[in-house]
Amino acid sequence: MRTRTFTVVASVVVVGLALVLVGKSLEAADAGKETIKIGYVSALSGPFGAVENYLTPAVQMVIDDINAKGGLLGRRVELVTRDDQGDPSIVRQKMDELKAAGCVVMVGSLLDPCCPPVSQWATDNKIPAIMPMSVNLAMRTTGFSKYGFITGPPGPAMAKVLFMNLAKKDIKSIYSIGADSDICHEVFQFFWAAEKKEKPAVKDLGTAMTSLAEMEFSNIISSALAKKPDLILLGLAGPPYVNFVQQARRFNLFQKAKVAAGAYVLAAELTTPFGKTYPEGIMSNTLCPFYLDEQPMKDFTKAYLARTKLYPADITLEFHLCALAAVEAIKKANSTDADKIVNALETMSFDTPVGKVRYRDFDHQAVLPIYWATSGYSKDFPIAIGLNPVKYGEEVYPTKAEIMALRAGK
Amino acid sequence: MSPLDFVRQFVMGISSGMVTFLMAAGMSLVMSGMNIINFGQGAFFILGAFLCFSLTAMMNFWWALVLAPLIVAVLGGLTEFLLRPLYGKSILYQLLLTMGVAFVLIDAIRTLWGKSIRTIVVPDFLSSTVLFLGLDFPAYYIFITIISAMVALGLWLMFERTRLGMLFRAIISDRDMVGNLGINVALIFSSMFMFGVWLSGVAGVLMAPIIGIDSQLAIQVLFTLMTVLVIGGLTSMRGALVGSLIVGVANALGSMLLPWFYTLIPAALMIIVLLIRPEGLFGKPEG
Repeated sequence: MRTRTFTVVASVVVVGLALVLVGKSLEAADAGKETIKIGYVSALSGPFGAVENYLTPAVQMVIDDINAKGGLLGRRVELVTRDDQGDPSIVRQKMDELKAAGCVVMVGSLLDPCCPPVSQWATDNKIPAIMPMSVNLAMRTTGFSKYGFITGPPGPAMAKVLFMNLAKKDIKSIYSIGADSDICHEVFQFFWAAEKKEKPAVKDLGTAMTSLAEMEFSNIISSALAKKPDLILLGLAGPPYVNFVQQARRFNLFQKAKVAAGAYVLAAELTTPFGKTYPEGIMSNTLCPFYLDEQPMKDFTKAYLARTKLYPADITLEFHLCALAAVEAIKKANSTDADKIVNALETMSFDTPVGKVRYRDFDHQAVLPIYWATSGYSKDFPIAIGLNPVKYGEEVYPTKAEIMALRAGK
Repeated sequence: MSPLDFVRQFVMGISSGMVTFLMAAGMSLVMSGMNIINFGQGAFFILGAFLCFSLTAMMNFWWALVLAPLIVAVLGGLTEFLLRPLYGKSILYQLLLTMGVAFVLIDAIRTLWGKSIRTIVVPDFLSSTVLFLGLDFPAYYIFITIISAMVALGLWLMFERTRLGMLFRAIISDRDMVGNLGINVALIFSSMFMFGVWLSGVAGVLMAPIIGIDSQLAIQVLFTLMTVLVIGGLTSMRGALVGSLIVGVANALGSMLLPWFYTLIPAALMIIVLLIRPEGLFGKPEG
């Protein structure tokens, strides 16, 4: 009798579980049929995990917006996320997982070293990948991929803006401090090529290269200050830059020398930790001047603040534009076919917080405005902003002739 | 480059080496006395920094310097309690447990403080500089060097002149004999572990005003600690001090002489020491 009762109860439980599992898999299958999946891979943990709050919400808000408007091609859009931890050796594996999940276009990754594997993967798998940034010019020339698109400006463009503005200053000597990364090497290389050509009298007092995740800068700072440079040129970003500023302040570095950078140091992810104590007078390029008195940027900043309580950073804009581009391309292509998406990306322009943006068809480079500004404070914002921003457009980007010549190996 | 430049960098190296010593000393103490490699040392360090951030906001930096390491030490005591079932078993199990504790701590830190980087400002009177050999030497670096040196001196005095230090030395020398003499080895172990972790907490508070406080540093700091301990000797406190100073000075002089490659210097030193004297400069040879 007991055995019989047990058997009945056990059978009911097993059948019930089976029904639940079948129901869940049908639901998943249903969801899979209905959604268009966009893959998102980035450094959500690891040495640059601290800036994840400036990335994922920027992508997710595009997805949420488009779903609120009815989705794409009559289907809901789903963001599928993978964490590459900023490690180039696992990016491809993560993208394979996104492909297996049914993603039709990829967005990511964060760090420059991860971009060549992303681009190569896109070529091998014939799935479009829209990269937020890759400073390395080779990605547009010898490493050009039909399926790879790059949103952030290339190193030569950033170096050009840096050079043009520093050339106006009375600078006789420069000491450089950079992280051993593509972005730093590219910007330094092109900057110094221009310096040596146009301003050969400017002394290069030396360059200190740190690891990508450096914590200790006091030795380099004291060594740099001992050389009494007019300008300290920085090639740092992310958490190491915060460490640098903390230690540099102890040495009164910002009072002793002018400080300039090729990228990112005016961005919100680096100024927010300091609140009202960020050093003033730091000159740099910036891509997302959230303090601009222009409606698209104001709307974007307001939406991002409401979602995250954070001001958008340069990387926020870059990731946001990638997601926007993916969605707009599918809309324009009226299809999730890879080649149609690529064609759409090459031929469309779309509205963004920084105005209309397009990807050039010959190098798949987005033409974003680059702003040059100097850190300071405004009563309207609780964190440092870039004062007196000057805007540059496609005139600072490498031309088609230059790109084609480099691609041909000339 | 002038001789003054060398002296200046040498002093900078001593300063940065002294803070590294605080963390390395804690790890070395636990290794030598308990035969445990505490992979959670970096996590305790960054917890000390985050606690400093919060306590400074609630009270001030000085209270943070006192309270934060104590809170960290209490958590260290809980960790040691978890380790007790693994005493006498393979060192690998203990290592894995401390790694697990480290990851749990890092996640807890992210949950409590979020992922964003935090900064704090040094106390006003430490934000100035002192003219030293033609360079504005930060008063805060003088402060952390003095505090680290005082802790080092205190450690030495404790080891050499107190009953607790005598017991620590006895356990390091012959744990079984100490147990046979009726000493409560478990209590000594707890004290030792908590003290080692306390040192990390102190290092975290001292470093908090000169770094971006980021939970990821917990892992990075471990690499520096292991380099220092391999050079100095895994189970030698003296080795921890000398190793820290060697790495600090090598980094400082390297950043001046070889700015492109100086980050490789500590690893190169580690390899050389491993090849010539694998037990470290002050470690005991095996066998």
